[in-house]
Amino acid sequence: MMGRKLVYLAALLLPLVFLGAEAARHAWHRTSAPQYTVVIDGYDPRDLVYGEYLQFRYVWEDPKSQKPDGVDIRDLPGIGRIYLPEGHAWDLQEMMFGRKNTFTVNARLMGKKAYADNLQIDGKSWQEPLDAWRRNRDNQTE
Amino acid sequence: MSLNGKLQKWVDAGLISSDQQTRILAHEADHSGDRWKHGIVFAGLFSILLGVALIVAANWQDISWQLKLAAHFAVNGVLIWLVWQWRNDALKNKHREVALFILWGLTLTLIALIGQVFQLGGHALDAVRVWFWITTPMVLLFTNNAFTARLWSLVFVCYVPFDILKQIEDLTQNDNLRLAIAFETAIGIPLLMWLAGSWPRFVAARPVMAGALREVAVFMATVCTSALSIIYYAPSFDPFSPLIPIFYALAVIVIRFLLQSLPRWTGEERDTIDLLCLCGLFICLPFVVMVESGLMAMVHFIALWLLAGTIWQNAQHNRLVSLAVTIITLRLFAGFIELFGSMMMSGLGFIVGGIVLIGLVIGARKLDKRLKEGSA
Repeated sequence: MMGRKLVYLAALLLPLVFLGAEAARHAWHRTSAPQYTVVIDGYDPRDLVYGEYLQFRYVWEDPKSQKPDGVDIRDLPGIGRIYLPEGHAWDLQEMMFGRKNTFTVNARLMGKKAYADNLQIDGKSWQEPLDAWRRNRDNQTE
Repeated sequence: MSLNGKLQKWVDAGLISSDQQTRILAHEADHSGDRWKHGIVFAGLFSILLGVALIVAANWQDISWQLKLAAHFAVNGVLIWLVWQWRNDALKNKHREVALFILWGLTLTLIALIGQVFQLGGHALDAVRVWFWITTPMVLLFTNNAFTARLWSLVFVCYVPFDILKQIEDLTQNDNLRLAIAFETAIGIPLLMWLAGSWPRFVAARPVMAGALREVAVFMATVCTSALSIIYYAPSFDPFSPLIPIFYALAVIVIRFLLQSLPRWTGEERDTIDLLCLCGLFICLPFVVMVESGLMAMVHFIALWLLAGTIWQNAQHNRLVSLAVTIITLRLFAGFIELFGSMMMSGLGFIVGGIVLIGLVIGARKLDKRLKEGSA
């Protein structure tokens, strides 16, 4: 009877325990992985904005990009994506195509993969430069 | 008409007594209050949940990933606790089923959230694979509700074959191997599902889930085999060996006789084994005779339903016999349109089409009636 109860409890807890362990593993990797600030650029105009994600190419060869010493660029992640709130992705895509600003992200390296966050434009968090870019665009339209 | 009016009519017609009328009205008066109360509470809860969801959605970018994950894990944890608390409480059956169903769905959203937070970049199929397998023991052991059981069976029968075929496509370029595994999947999964649903220990422990497995196995086998007649419209000319479909057609016949030789089956179970094996055989046929022919497609489809109807007629499943007759009638009319569709360009064509349709329906009704009388 006790064994049967344990089987039922294990079946119920399996999703939570499995996903909890997975989340903890990814969180540990995320915090312990070395972090670099890398310049990014669009890599395919058709796919740059995918849903609410900005998809991009890491520009490791840019002098402003930080990268690990003694590693071949071909061994580093080539593309990445970052989640953006609804309504901003398309404007950021247009801004990126204007090529007047430098876009960077913080990439936490895990072999050929990287966690990307902290999107910045010209060294500032992306919201402020995007607002300024929008004001400028609206003024030009008027 | 109100319930009161209907009941009075039934009393006047002598269908129920006035005492029964009084008791029905008293019962309705006792329970209608509960319905209102539950409805209002449900509307209130729904409004609260909608409000919370809207606030979370509007501030999604400002909520830290730790908080997002913690909140989702907490919600799932609470649902697990509720399912566990209500597992043996007969009065809370509905509550447990609702909690289990929400937990099942929220496990998928939790996987999606983990993917988003940690930028895992996986495909939707990867998420569905993890979700399906980690939640399967929970659903199998805890659900006693036909809706959830059927939904799980449908997910199983849609996802598992798709995943198997996708894996094989990625793993090998060998057309013979791909076709062989496709046959094993198409024939084997409904059969194994039905056998699992007929396993006495499983039936005794999880009767609702066992019933759903049997139902969905038969449903999917007949639907998929019927749909396979489409192969005659656009046959595949991949270079596979013709011996493979012949081998599986023979294997199905052998399996049929092996299963029928077991003494444990009831008459109805024997009929279902025949039906599933018939579907297996018809899955192989379009690959044995590889021709491009609309007529062959119609013959394949109608022959399957004719034989299925015969099996159901023997088992005295009148409703399924009517279904078979209706489907055959519709397919005959579709075949008429395929062959003489160009006639519909003229008024005369429409008249002939209408006459054929009416003729088919009258013929089908007569046949259906005669079959029912025969089985009675």
